[in-house]
Amino acid sequence: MTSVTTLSSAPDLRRLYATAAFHRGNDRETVPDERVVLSGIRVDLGELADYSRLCGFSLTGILPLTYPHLLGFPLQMAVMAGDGFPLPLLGAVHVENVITVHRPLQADDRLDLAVHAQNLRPHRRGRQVDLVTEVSVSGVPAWRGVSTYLARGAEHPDATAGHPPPLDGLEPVTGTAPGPVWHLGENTGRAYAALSGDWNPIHVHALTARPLGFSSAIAHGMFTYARAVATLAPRVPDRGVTSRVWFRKPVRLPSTVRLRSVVGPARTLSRLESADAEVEHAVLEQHW
Amino acid sequence: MATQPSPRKARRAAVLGGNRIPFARGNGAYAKASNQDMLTATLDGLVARYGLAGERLGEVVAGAVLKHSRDFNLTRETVLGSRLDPHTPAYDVQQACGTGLEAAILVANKVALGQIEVGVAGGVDSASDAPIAVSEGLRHTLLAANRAKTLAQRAKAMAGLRPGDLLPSIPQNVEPRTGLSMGEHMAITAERWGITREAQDELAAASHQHLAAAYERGFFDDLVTPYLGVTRDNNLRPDGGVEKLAKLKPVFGKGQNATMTAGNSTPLTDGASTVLIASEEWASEHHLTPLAWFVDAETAAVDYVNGDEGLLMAPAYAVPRLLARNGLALQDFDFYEIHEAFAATVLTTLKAWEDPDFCRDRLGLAEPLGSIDRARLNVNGSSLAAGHPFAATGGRILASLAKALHEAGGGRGLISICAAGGQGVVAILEA
Amino acid sequence: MTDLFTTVVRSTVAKRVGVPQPTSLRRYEPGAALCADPVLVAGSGRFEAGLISWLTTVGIATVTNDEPTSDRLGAVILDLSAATDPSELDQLRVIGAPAVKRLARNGRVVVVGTDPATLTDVAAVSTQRALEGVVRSLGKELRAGATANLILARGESAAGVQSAVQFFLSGRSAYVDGQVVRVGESTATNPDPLRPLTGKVAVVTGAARGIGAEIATVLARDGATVVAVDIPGAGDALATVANDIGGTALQVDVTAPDAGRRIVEHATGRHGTLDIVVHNAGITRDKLFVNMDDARWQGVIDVNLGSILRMNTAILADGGMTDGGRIVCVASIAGIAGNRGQTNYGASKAGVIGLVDALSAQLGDRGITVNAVAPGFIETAMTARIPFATREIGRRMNSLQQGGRPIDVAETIAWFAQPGAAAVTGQVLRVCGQSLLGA
Repeated sequence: MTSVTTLSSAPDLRRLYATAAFHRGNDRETVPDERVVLSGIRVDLGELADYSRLCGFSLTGILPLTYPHLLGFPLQMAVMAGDGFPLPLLGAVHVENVITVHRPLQADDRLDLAVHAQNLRPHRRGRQVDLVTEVSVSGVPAWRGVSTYLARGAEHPDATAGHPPPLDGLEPVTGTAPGPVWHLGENTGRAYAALSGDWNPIHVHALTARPLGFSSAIAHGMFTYARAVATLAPRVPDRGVTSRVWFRKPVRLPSTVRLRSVVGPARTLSRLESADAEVEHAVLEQHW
Repeated sequence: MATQPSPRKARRAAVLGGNRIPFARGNGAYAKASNQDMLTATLDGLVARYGLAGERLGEVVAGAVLKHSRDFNLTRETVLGSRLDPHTPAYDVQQACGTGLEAAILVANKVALGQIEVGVAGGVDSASDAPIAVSEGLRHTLLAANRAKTLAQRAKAMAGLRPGDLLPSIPQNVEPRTGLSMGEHMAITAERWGITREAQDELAAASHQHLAAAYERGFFDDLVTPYLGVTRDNNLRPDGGVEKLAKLKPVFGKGQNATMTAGNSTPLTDGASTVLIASEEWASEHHLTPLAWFVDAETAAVDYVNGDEGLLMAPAYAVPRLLARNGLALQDFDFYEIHEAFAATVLTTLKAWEDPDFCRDRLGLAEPLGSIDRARLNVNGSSLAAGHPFAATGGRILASLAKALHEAGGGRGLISICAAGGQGVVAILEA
Repeated sequence: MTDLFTTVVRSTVAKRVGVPQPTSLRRYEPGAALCADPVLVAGSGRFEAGLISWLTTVGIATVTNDEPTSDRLGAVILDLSAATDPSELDQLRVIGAPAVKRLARNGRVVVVGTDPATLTDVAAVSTQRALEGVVRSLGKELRAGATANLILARGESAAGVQSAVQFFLSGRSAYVDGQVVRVGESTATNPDPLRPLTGKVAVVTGAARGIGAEIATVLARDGATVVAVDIPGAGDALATVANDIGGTALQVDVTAPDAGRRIVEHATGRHGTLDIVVHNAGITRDKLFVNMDDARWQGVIDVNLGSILRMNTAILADGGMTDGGRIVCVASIAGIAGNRGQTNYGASKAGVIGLVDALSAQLGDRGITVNAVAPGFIETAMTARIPFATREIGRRMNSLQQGGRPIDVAETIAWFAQPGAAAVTGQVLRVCGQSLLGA
């Protein structure tokens, strides 16, 4: 039976990162059957405004599609920091994320969050797991996010991986619609960390990222994703939307990236790429 | 005086309706909202009311008085973030507190000339999220450093920096050419015209009562959309009578003659407004009933720097020109919307029109314009009660007046708005 | 080493408990098959042949009782409309019992009978009435999201029965269990099965949030142009609903004296007609009867009942709703079973049921149907205010052992609104998972 841990407030992520190096994972083949629950969360309008400003959302009474991820992230970390959790906490990479909005969340809704892990499976370069965040209001499911994290380790060359959709649709717009170009400064990771509480050292500074195998700090995937979602938001309804991102190659800081998109009547498809289009950072697909 | 050109015979532009967010006192409920946030929410509310999601409109014209440099294309950026078709063009205008009405004049003129079928005029201002600039000293230093080609040149440029230069420069409600605040200017004019404290407080109390009554009878049901938890203008004090206002200490003017208080002056306010203006054909195709027709407009300016006129007296000049061009008398209106920058502004303007000397000497009229029926003045409240987010006031007044005319089953309304820089924007609506 | 999990969350842990998860109900998706598995149709009633041929045209495999297999059944339809003697009821058991054993998850049992009110023979009346007892009992026995419902035909034509069968087979009726629907004579069908409300203009009150927003969304999904109505104070949420579904937002308090006129003017002025009105706006102001004050009493009665009566006057006047229109009210279990602390609410909702009875009879000539849904425990902001223990009981005390969702209420309303449901009027259909309350 599922073990449910009900929190009375969000875990402190700084505390968690301070001790994260001790959590090295294990060889278990399944994730613990555990849910972490936090009920009755109220969104702080000031924090919402800061987030909206940083990511490019306009401040309305509706939460941006990506915002609940921010609220659920400390719970995700709590699950992954659990004793029996098979993947190490540090160095795990966010490779894929799917968000489904059944109905829009209002800024003054009381949100109930539940997070659990599932679907531990091999990946070509290690093992990956899904962290599922569910947000409901008064018992009605409203928002669901599935974050897939990869821990590099023993290689599984035969493992099947999640494939982004073919980017054929993007070809016609090459050259004619360059899409937004973003200059992401060296401090981008710290700015987003200050908002999200995600002070993972790989995002903070080159010096803290290096021990974990990165030559420079890298942007939070959820930040570049949120900016892309914000760019497309006016063309996407607030309800009944599924938004999916595949994080391909990390965005090293500082750097200049651009987003190319095709917007259809019930679908958007985008590619976040380096300014010279050589590096594919992320692929984003939304449909409704 | 030279003959006035008669208005070109063109088709009529209709005011179809409007939307605004409730106005909120500065540094309060909307403290974290930017101009673009507020204008987007307001525009989306208009889109919802009129079913315009995904529609391409002729244009959207709006502006803000206090504007960040990043907002150079505020209105277009707002359209791109809204539910309108992104192929809707947009541009910014700025004429201080006349911005909103001037934007509407521009849209109405294009509709009248057949250049567009439909447009949105609007305005937004945030006294809370004000643009704070670096000081002039720091700015010059940084520009010099930026031009420098070598490290040494750069160091030299930076060495010129003084500690005082590091203080930010906060925008002030001050006329650049006189260094006086708008309230101080108004206090001078009010004293010159002998406007009493009692008359100002009465006007302020009436503004609150009228606005409260309009809310009570549902007048704003289809004019206002809540934003960030605010459902009514939060400066409104429905129970504030003259007695309460009489207790306030004057904040502008000096000594015995100081009459202007926080109660009979508008507070710093955040808010946004939009108005939908279209041709008769477009309205009919979209099954929308014109609330009122945009008849004509006029702007005027006074020399308050070296001349002998009060900063906010320009509407007193604009209105007679507008009346003359349209062959109307001041009494030919069913509604008067005179923007209450200060209670004294309204009272001075009305007094000037009644004054034979002023009308003869300054306006060149043989007879004074005369008095108006005060029962027709600002019948649904005005800026003293609602608040005054500078560029948003024009849209608030325009939509409210158009609806009032429609509700009355017809009639004529006059709008008069004073603006910084000694300017005035006035207009006539008919239904 | 300390368990990191504990380190992180120890201070904030409130409790650890195990929670059983109820069956996930099958809900409607446009274009999806009514039923994944074959449907057994039996019983030798007057609608049997028609139902089989209709199911075949919509691509659902049907089986008869003569072809014994052990395959899973998506649904069992038993047409007992011709039964006139209690001895014939045994067919239900003989055919039904083995079939129910084969019922798939989220399966359906639909029994078709003849409305006893149209019969005079005592044996026939009691036989048909007996069907209700069977269905209500069977509903309580079925597991894994399966439901049992009864359709009572008042006439001979199959169209009305077919519309009700379609509703009960589909995921639209996920949370409707153990209920009875009476259908009259009609030959109407849905011109566009995927978008049955195409071309219709619908008004939904209380549309800014919760069930109302869901109703507006579902009606728009089914093809209607929706006027979303709510109080001015909810205008921002209302605007997002309207913009999302390509409708228009109308801010008006339903208790305003001119609310009906404003709604009619908006719908007919902007969209040319008014076909569907969903009176969803409602409030609760709970207090024990002895402590009930004037404001709580009057407020609830006026919003939930008085305003509907006033608005209907404008809606049904000349220039208002078109003939063949639809009025759907939202009643409540509290209006049927009563609820402690809700004398005011119970009164208003029972009043709504009376309104449906009386008005449906009056409007038959105009082809306007008047129906109500009576939601049971639906997970909404309103139910979230119920104390935890009471709420858990409410959630579990029904045959489906879970709370319903706003979509379940919305789907039932959308069915009432369909052209094909012309034969359904004067009905109060409970969307309650067969709640033990007021059963």
